[in-house]
Amino acid sequence: MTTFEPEIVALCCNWCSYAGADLAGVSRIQYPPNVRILRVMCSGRVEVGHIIRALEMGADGVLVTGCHPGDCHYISGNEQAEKAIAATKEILTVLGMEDRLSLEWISAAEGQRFGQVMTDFVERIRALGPNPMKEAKVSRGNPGDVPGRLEDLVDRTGVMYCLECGKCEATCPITRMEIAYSPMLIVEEALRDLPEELEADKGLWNCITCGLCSHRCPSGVDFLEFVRQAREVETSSCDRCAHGGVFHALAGIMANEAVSQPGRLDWVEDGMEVAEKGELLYFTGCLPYFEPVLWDVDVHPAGALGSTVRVMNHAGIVPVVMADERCCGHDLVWSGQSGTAFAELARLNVEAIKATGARRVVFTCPEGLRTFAKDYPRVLGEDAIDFELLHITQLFAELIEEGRLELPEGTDEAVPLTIQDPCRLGRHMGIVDAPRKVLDSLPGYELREMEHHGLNAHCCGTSSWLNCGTFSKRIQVERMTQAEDAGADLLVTACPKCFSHFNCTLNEPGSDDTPPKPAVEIVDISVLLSKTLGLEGGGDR
Amino acid sequence: MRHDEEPRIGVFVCHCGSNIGGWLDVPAVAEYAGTLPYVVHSEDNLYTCAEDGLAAIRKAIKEQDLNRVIVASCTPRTHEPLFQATCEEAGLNRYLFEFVNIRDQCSWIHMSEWDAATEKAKELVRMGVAKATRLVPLDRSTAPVELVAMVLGGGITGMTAARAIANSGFEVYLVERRSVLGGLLNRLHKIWPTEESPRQLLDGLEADLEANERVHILTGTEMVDLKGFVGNFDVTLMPVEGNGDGLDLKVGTIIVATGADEMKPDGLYGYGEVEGVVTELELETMLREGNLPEIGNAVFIQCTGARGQRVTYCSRVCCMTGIKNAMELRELYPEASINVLYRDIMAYGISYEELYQRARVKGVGFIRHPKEEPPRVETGPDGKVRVTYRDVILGRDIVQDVDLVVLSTPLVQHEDAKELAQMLRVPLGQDRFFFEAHVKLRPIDFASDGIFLAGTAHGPKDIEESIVQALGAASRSLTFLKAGQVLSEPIVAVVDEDSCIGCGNCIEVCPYGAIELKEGGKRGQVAEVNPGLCKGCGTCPGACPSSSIQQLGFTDEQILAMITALANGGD
Ligand code: SF4
Ligand code: SF4
Ligand code: SF4
Ligand code: SF4
Ligand code: SF4
Repeated sequence: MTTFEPEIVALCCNWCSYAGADLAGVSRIQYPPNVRILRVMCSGRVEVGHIIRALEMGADGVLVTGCHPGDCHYISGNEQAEKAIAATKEILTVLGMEDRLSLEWISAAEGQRFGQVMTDFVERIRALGPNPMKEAKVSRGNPGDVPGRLEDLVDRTGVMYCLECGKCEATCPITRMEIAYSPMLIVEEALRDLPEELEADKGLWNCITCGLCSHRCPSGVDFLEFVRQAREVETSSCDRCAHGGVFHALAGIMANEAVSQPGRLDWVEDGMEVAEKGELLYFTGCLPYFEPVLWDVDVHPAGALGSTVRVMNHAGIVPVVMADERCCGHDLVWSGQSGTAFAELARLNVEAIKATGARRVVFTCPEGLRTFAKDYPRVLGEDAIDFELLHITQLFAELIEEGRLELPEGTDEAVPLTIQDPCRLGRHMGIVDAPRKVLDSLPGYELREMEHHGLNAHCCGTSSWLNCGTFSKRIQVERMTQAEDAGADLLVTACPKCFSHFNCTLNEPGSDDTPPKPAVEIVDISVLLSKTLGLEGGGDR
Repeated sequence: MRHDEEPRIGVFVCHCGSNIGGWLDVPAVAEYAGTLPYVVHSEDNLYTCAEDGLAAIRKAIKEQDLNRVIVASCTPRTHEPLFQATCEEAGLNRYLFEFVNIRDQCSWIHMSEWDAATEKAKELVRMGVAKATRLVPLDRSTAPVELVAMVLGGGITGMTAARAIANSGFEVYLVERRSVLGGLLNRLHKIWPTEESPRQLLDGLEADLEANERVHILTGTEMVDLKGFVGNFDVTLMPVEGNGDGLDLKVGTIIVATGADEMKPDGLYGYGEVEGVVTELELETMLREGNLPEIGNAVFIQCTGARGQRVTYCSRVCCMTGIKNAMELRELYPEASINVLYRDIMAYGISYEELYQRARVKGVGFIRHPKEEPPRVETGPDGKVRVTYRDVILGRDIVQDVDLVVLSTPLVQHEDAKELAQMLRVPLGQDRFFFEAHVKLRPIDFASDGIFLAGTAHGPKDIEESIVQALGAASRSLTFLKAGQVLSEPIVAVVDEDSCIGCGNCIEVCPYGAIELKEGGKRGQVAEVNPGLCKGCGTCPGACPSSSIQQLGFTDEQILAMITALANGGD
């Protein structure tokens, strides 16, 4: 048996801790040879994504070192490091890996301390044992089974039926902003087998996969499916991933069976009733990871988790929640990074669900729903999913219909609200009635429709944590303006990602010259329902 | 452009004599480097930084058409500029150079682990190659230097430095928080070896300073705020007392000469409790003012509070001060018995050894005691001080009732030095003195450019040493002032205007206010970095949700490539 020698990455700031490492050297202070130093100018440079990626790649521990508080060579860079590390720790707590990360302050004069900190950290990691990702069996990236030629792809997705009518580009929200972008043109490029041009005009990557074009296409071209597969052929990099690619890296990590998530159910509060086995399972997706990953944009979508369970409990349902649930893999699928990881995520999730005996699986996130419904059968076989899949709004609508929720009396004055149809729920899954049924039955509110709604709804501007860019932001502002124009005070979302993207735009600091934001408040449909039922205890709306 | 070509990397692995080569297998590291992607040349050198090593780099760049160079040796903190300059001489942009540290971070710290150290050195080189592959040429820009210096501290060190700078033709502000110049020297009686009064020395200096119109003496003044960087510091000064007007200055360089204090050894050897127990400086004040009582016998206790008693270090000057004053007492009171109780006498250098010998000849007694058995001091009969000490030669305790006990205490850093250090963004060492950039290679510099260090602020020193360092600091300062401009490191933040969403998150975290939203981009507003204000901390990329802002030289791509190289064993 070989003994375990931890492999540790230390990200050291140039001015204090790297100098401390030098002093340790000059003073011949001996410490274990397990640490590899990566120099940055300031600890503030270290990003959540760097750490998560290092762990994804199998580093046993990550140490970040900076100047003592108050001593930062760059005034306050180390304060930013502290925040980033705290957020990363929160993420790692869900994964049970929080002890693999440490932030230490070491000055240029503390050579002795540098050696001690390294020694202690190496011993700590040695005691923890190897990072489960070290022996990772699967990884994200280009999937092995997609033939690398556009021609085949054209065959598979039926784009040769394109009539060149231009209806798609007339409806595409991206074409509206960037005239050079056109789904029709992309199809043409593919038909002529011009992969370089496809990549060069970023066409493939600008698409937010909202599905409006496919919805309009008179000839049934499945542009969405084309984009999905073309991305798998084109690239496996995460260059266009938002938030430093952290969500995608987490998907890659969760795809490994050896990785457990001891903190995954930490959101379950006292008083909530949940079960390990049962009829109905609540699939939470990556929502337990959202807030620490989105720490830098000030959005707080995680409340939907508790609200959902409270409403279920209120209706007498004790949902199964799974500690070994994994990312559904949606974001890998749409960023061309399925690799071997996606099929494994599918397998692990479906096996875990089957083990609970659940017959119905409910999703807060429409992306998860779509992935289970349309992409899992692709990799697991057509009848792999033998349980019912439904969106949380479908369950709520059902409960309301059956009279299982005690909705209070309405008031005379009704707050106007409107609903954002998530693209994955509406066009991808064809579900548009359920959220309306829920909202229609809420006392004290009045549903107003935006100009584009239902199957014609405009999307929130970002999907798959990909390509968040200027188009996304403009789409978000536009969409919220449409809500405002419809006279709504509240814009209700039925997707935690829509919720996050909209709030992100509302909350961005901007500058004095930034135009005022639309006057709408974004609220999650589960939270709204739970509040209406009086289940949220304290706080306004 | 060259950087668009496929990388051609040369790796130079240094033995550093035996500093590296003695502890790990340097040729094996060089050989391994040669197997890495894009590495077309690798060699090991006895001393890469020596002229033949540098020549080898230049030669390989030319002959092998290298477009990236890596040296695996010591630390970028001391040697990077040299190797960068070498690349430049051979026509390669200096930012196409990458440093790998296998001495301070490998050979010197894993001295009994040849194999593991060799393995680690290989991995560090692999990470360096991964980064080098992704380096791009960068250009430095120049910024003018404010042709004014500021010296903090108006003791002998600060005065000397200020005079030297002014004599070279530059304006200098001499800032002293007490109401008079002169510092600790004001409290001394005589200075060795000239045996003159310190007044003579100070008066001469002060007269020179006052006569020079380029010198601005600001006594009773302290620095309360500092912003900016080398060449362009913004200083705010305030009167120490009262609430008079502050003064805002722009200066190019700063010398820290804030000196030290004598330790007050409360609770040691009866100090503060027993009448007749004083410190060296208190004795010197009495000598200077002529109010010393009649002395029949006196005892000096060396190393009071030093070398493990309260501070760990030897304060260097107290032996000589004790000997000097013991002799002075012998001269004033030739009949008196004067004994110096010591653990070790540190009479370093020719003149101090001579002083020590002279004291012995003059009849000063030197009595050694072990560290574990320090003398005891208590109130004695008839207003005397009773000192009990172990005489190691006689092997028994001696009890002596004396008129005076003089405690030789170490110089210590000022209580509030931490505040100043934080304002200057420079470190204090473990003993709280200001800490230089490198003990041998940059002993007068701080790691931050444009701030220099002299005198006892750096650690105990005698007057001669303080003056020497003052002149050194002045000359380091003049290097910048005479150049008139500084080259700024181009490792600044840059924005991809195509993808920037104009959210302003980066603005919130920039410590220097270097980013603004300007009109433009695809959303109407886009971030813009002012490269003159950006100091290259790299904090902003972490706050950018769309990875639209990157720090040159430390891009996500480069950092992740290094991490990947470490994890993936080189592919
Ligand atoms: S899916 Fe949406 S964004 Fe993509 S091309 Fe179609 S309409 Fe445009
Ligand atoms: S819009 Fe969405 S993806 Fe873009 S920064 Fe905000 S939360 Fe992230
Ligand atoms: S000082 Fe640095 S470059 Fe010079 S010989 Fe030693 S390790 Fe090599
Ligand atoms: S690198 Fe640092 S100083 Fe430069 S703009 Fe970014 S945060 Fe500001
Ligand atoms: S944080 Fe990024 S996206 Fe936002 S303004 Fe700055 S550079 Fe642009």
